[in-house]
Amino acid sequence: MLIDLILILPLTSILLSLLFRWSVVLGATLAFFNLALLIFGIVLAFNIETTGPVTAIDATFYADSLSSFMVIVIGLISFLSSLFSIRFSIKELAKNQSTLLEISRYTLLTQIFIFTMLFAVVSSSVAMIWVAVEATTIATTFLVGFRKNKKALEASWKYIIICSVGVGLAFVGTLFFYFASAHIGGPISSSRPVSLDWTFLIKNSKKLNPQIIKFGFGFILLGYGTKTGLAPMHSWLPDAHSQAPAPVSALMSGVLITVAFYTILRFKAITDIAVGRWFSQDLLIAVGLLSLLLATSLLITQKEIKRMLAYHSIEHMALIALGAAAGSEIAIAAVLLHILGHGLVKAILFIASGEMLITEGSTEIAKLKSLLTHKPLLGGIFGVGLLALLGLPPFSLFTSEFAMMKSEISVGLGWVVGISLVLMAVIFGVVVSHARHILVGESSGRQTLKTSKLSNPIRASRLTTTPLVLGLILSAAIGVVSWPLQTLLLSAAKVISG
Amino acid sequence: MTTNYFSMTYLFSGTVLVCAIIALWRKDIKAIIYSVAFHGVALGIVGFSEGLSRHDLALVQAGIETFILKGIVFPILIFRIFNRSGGQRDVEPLINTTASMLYTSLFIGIPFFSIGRLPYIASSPQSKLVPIGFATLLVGFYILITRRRIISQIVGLIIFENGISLIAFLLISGLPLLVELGESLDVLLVVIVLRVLAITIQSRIGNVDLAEMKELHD
Repeated sequence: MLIDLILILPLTSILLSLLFRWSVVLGATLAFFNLALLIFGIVLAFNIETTGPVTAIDATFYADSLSSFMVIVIGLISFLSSLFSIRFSIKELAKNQSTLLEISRYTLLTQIFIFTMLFAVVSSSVAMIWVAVEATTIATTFLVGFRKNKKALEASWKYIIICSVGVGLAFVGTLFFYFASAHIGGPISSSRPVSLDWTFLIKNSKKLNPQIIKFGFGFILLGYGTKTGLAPMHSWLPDAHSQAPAPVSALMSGVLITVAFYTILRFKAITDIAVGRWFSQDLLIAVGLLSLLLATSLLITQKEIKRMLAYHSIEHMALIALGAAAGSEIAIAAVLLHILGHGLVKAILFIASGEMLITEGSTEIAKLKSLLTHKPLLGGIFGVGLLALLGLPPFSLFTSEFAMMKSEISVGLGWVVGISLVLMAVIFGVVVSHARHILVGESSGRQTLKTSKLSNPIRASRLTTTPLVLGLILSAAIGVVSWPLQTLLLSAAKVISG
Repeated sequence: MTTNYFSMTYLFSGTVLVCAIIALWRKDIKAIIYSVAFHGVALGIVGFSEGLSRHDLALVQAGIETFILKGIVFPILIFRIFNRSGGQRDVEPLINTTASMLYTSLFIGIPFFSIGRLPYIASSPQSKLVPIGFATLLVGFYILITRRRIISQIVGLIIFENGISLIAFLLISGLPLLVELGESLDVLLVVIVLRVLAITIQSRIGNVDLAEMKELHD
């Protein structure tokens, strides 16, 4: 029943944005629906905690604690993003940068995007998850190309080509899992049931042929890894995240990439039982370290805030991959906490960068100076957000990074922790120097002239800043007080670590 | 009876790969589009004949769907983009054709040596052909990364996806219809999105050479 509601809600949003042109009322309604989604997610989590996994519509949909956790993350980020969408749309219309039709289309596609992500996390069959992840690409391509200028079109072309290839490879991986499940206990026979349902696969995972599964998981990691933004097929991510409108970047960086990683986690659980944990561990470490190295080396040269944040996402996905490599229950719980914490903080920062684009007219690091003096609140949010993202206490990213590294050491992966700490220190240095420039950098003569010319500079909107401040407080609260999240995280981790 | 179906499957799986290689070899865009059309038709026939031989209605349906979609609809869509682009007929690959053909031999050899050795692959005459699907997939991927024209990239992606469909037809007996449907629907949508995007790029930038899109390079 709850799963039905969780799917009907975004469907209603889609219907509403199909029927009505965009207006503030519609925007507010959609934001309210996304808030309801978050609440339903929490109720679902409590339900599953007491009664166990639930199914809906002939077991087409299935939710365990892991799914409910992902619903909560999607609901939270969607809510934040749809709140800022209102502000974004008003400004777009006021400045005549977009027509009402374009804004309406943007709203519709965003809601379809949210629906496809939800569909992915509550589907029972891994094949339907694949269909949903592919659908996210289709829904977001035009959102990435929203600006329709050269850069945006280039980004969306790259995005759809690279992600289609990636997700295609993931389909090949899924086919191999099906092939293995059809050969349980010998050659194919028509009398045995064959299924791609997660519950069937995990129950029979001991009987799956390890060689076929190894092959399949390789493709799964490469394929969904593309969508997660992991190396070697990460190159779409910085372009797409920097060109998309800020609320869409928040959704993509905040949840889309982790929904793809969620799928990898499901397949990892099956692979771990069929082959042994060492196999996925080796692959995840290789992919994680490579991505971390790439993110660090490319982050150094970035001149634009959104691009910098995008490379930061690759870094965090790499950390999550390394945490998942450790594989213990605590490690997976930390990975999930990191998914939540990163999603929240990254969404806040992308939204703040969108607000900067509105108030300052640019997101280029060189053009932004001493933000803290003339926009104390927005600058403050951005600064504190960056500190949270860099993993400083008391924010939840500190807790999760600490727990992930601790469990990596406990399974003998101390060298991985060593390498990642060095690379993270480099990133820390780069980001802090950029942040200092943006927040307290001295204004040059020309800059002062320019600012004084703007006799009535646009002020940051309360509508934007209040939720962001609340979001940061939430992030800190999650980092300090583990209740009631801890129970959910641990039972969700149990789904994966067995 | 069944033997006839197998020979159909063998013949047309081979045709799928050969058409992919022709698309890689030829430089004339019209010839490339025709070979992609024939490629899709052959793929549809593989699905159809496999479905008949296994008495699998879903697979027959998927075969017919593939025939219409990949043999007829996609080529028409690509032709439309081609006509809008003002008929530049030749593609200029980044790597010359001779070298590409050499690589192609690797694309065919590697799958036979790696996937051909997986357990159960040799257990049925159909799944023995799975490496052909992988070879097609690799040829498509190669076209995708070495060509810079919008049309060539779409062609590369379609060949890549067709390779995956061939693997699905041969590897799996009776993939659930819902999945089959979802897959082809997704591919159709991707191609439509690509078409719209291509037209937007053409009208906004007036350039179909993606090599000149370098604004976002790190």
